[in-house]
Amino acid sequence: MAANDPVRNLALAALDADEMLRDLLVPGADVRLSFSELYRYVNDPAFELSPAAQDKLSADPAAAADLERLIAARPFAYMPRQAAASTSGAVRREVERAVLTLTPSRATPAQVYLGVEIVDLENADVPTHLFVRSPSGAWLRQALPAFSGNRAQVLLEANSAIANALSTPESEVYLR
Amino acid sequence: MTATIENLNLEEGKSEVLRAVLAGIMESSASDGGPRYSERVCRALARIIVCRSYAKPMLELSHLLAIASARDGRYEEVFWGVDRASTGEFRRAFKLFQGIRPDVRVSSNGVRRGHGADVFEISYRRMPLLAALLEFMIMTVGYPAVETMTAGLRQGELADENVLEAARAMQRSLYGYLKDHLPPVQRQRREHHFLGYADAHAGNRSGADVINDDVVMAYWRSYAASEDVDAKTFRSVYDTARRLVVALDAAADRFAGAYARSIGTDLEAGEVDPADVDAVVAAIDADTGPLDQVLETCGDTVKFINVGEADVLNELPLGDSTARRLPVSVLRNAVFGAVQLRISTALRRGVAPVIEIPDPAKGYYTEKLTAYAAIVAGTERLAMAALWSLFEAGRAEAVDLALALAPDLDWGQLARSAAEDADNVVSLDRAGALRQFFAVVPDARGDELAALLADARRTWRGVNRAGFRDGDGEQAVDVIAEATPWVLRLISSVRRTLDRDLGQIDWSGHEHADATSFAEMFGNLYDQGRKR
Repeated sequence: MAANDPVRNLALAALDADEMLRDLLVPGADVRLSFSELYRYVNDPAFELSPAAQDKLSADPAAAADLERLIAARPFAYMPRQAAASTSGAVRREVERAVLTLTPSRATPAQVYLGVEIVDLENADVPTHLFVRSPSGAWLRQALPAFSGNRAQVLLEANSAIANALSTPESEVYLR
Repeated sequence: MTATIENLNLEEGKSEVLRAVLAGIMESSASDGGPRYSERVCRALARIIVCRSYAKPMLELSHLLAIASARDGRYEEVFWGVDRASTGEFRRAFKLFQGIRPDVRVSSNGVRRGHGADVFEISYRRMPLLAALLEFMIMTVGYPAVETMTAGLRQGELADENVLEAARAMQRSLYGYLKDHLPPVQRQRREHHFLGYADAHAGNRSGADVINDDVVMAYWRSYAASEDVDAKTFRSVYDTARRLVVALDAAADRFAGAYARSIGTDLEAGEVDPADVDAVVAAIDADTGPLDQVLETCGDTVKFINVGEADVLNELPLGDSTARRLPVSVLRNAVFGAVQLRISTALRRGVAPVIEIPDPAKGYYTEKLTAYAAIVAGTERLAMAALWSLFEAGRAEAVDLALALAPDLDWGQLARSAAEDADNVVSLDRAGALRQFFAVVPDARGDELAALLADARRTWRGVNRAGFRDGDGEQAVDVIAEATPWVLRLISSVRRTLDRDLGQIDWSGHEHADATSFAEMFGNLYDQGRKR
């Protein structure tokens, strides 16, 4: 068989490529967080990112940008910083389709009520959770209980990360 | 785009980012914790990346994105709405697209878009790979960039220009990414060395004809003790020979066929076309035959093949080339490759190995053949039981399976109608034929079809395996329906390998000679090592 035989050259090139792809499929030290995981995190309230996945996310600006885009794409309502107003311990965010309030509990000062009121209930899927982006850029997620009429309410620990983020007027909120 | 095989520097570290992305895709999981993408899909994805043969898949992806966006622009809900990227899950997902608009049609095989002659169809079987490709695009160039490139597909009008423009944009984007992250292919010493040896002993033979059982054995005997090449185990030499014969046969097929080749490929100068490389690598993948697809489709739901049977069948190369060209090596690998593996394992564990040479008087090769035949006979029995499951569930796939199991029956109108199943528009003839089929009452003493169904029912009742029990549910029936074509291919591949390739050899002569040869080689390789 001649060394410049096209059949031989093609076969050997294919085997070289095959070896390379086998090698590429052996995981190395780094494993990127997949978009599938991000999509489930955004759309499935029952799915939690593992601590390892959260670490990867915080160390991967590209994945963080993908997550932001996923959350920001077609939310039920987006509440920018300008939508927040804070008076005597309560925070109120209001946009056209929803009003979100964070009110200290009178009975238990260590707790706060998160209230969500939506309009246009008949023409949209009811939101199932909200995402908060804190001023530091970190994302937090809170599942919402079933709506009664156009309202849902959930009791949070006042010192929880989500309550802290929601009580900061500079945070942004997405209802999904 | 062409590349010379002499251009062979591996740029160390360049591929680590790419490796991390592929690892992320391989490790992404379904809700039950199993892999979202099968190993086969991940390999196919890596193949089109390494071979840079992504132009056609990218066009298919662009069409699929257009169709998946046809309801409300939210293609993500189709691609990631399916928990596991499998043929069956995409088939179920696109059922919701039935009749949504005149230029999108959903059939039993796939989805199409377009009108008249300008129709583009994507099969459900192709969708897991296209989903993995989309995931790869998002993880490399970013979701916002993909959103921008596909914006024209999500605006209601499914214009061809938009589909083509999105495909071109994604191709350009991927080209740019791979330019930075995909190193040139490295020349593999093992295959080149083996082929050089085979050429030197080829006489006037060429192509895959230079590799036969004698060459495999002679190469192993010559180089097993060498430190220059990795040829200590017979299995490693057999694997090299196997990959070479498959690659050489597939390469010869590419040149024999009328495949379009990239303009500018200078074959005389040793250049190769990426599409040809992709096709040959795909042939290497396909050499395992349909066993992987059966296992992948069935999972734990339906046990057409259990783990032990799969391990045994994995010894058989079920593609067309290897067992035909290297029949004796196939069984040498199955028997003595396993003996040598046990020796190596013992040495790795620091245990003195026992060299167990099988007794030729017991016919160890013919025992192997009997074991393969017994497994495939069992699988045929399960296929018969599957007919009852599909028949009872009123599934149209029962007709195809019955036709495969009893091709000699006089099927008349039923056979002609079954062949028309290419669309969701069921013809009146086919509908009538299906009614006729499902109206048959199983009867062992009835006509041929009634007797076949009675046989299927009796077989079903005699089987006790996952997926073949009363009450296993609709999901098991779905899996049986999806897996049946692969099971039939598996049966015919094993039968062909046994009857055509391995069944024509006088094994008793080999059994005596090989026991002596391998005992001598193992003694040289391991006993002397222990004495030193």
